[in-house]
Amino acid sequence: MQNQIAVDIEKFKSFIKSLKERIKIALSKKQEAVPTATGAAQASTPIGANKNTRLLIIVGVVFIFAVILLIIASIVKGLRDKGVMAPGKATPVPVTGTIPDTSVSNPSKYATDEGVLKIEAALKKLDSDLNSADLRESNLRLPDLDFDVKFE
Amino acid sequence: MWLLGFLASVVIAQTFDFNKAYADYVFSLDLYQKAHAEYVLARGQYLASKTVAAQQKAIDSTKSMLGSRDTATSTYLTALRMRIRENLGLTENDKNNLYAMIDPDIVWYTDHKAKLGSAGSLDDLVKDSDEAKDYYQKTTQPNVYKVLVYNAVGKMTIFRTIDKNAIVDLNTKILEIKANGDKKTETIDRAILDAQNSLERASEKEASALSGINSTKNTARDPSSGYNTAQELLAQSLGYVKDANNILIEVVRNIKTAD
Repeated sequence: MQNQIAVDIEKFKSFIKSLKERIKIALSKKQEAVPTATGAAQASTPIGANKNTRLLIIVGVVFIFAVILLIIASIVKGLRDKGVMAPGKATPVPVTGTIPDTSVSNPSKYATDEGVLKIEAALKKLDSDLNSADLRESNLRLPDLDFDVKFE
Repeated sequence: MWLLGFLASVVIAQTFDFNKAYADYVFSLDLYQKAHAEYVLARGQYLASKTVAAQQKAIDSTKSMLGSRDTATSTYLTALRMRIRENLGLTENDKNNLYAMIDPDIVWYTDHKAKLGSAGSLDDLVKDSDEAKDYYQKTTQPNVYKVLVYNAVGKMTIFRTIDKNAIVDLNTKILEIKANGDKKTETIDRAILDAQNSLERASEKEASALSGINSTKNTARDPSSGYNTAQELLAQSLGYVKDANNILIEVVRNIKTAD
């Protein structure tokens, strides 16, 4: 990403450089016309001055557009790298089908029946609960307290 | 302001459950054990020296130990009460009968602790302790054993209910299989009957456990013997429910396997 930014900055610098040269040329042409007798100069160079102004406007618009493009490009690239926006990546699709039962070698048509699987899940959960059942509730046995208080 | 106070009290009431009550009990039991260690030390020093200073220290530490013993007992009973309240296998009627046993005991220990402040001598404190010992042995212990048995029966009721519901669902599925005519169901039908019989036997064992603990008199020499007998019956009940559940798991396997 840093390399990309460096390349973009270099492009931008060269663009600015060429822009400066163009502006310099345009200004020097204008200066050539302005210092002479004002009336004559204005009368002799109206078409050139209009051209320069139009060029400046076009250059300015292009410059602003390029800056905006550059900002958008860097933001999008940053988001892609962070994984916020990943249009190219395929999102995993959740599996909604019934998981094949491996405990039965010769399955009947009811092996994947939703109702049967639900009953099986409830029974297996109960099996686990029964095996870990603590009917004596060992954490709630009567506390060991000293009731034999004597001073003899 | 009063609204805030009301809301705070509602929040506190809502969050007080078995886990909180149990944590309170463990904390107060820890305080009791520390107070008891100090009492043992002060008692030893007093019996060795018999000085006035040692006697005063013995009075203070005994008072503190007896107070923390009362608190430990009442917080234990509160935890037990919360366990009963959260037991979904017990009926509201059963719960109310058990509360009627536990609640007066909690009040008794709270009152007893408040009374300790007026004791001025070691003899007074010994008398107070003996009073608590008598109440603990004749009332609290038998009540606790009853509550523990009912709590276990509530658990067993939940287990049996899960299997009973599974039988209802399996019977519906078996009717569907019979209508389709694509699988033999004789073995399955017999197995379901076996499971029902096992659950019936489990239920009988639980009824015997309750009957036994209810007929145990508070004056019994060893109240724990009635409790242990009840626990043996409940262990048998657990065995029957395990059998029933294994049969039902086998029924499901049968349904899932082609003839």
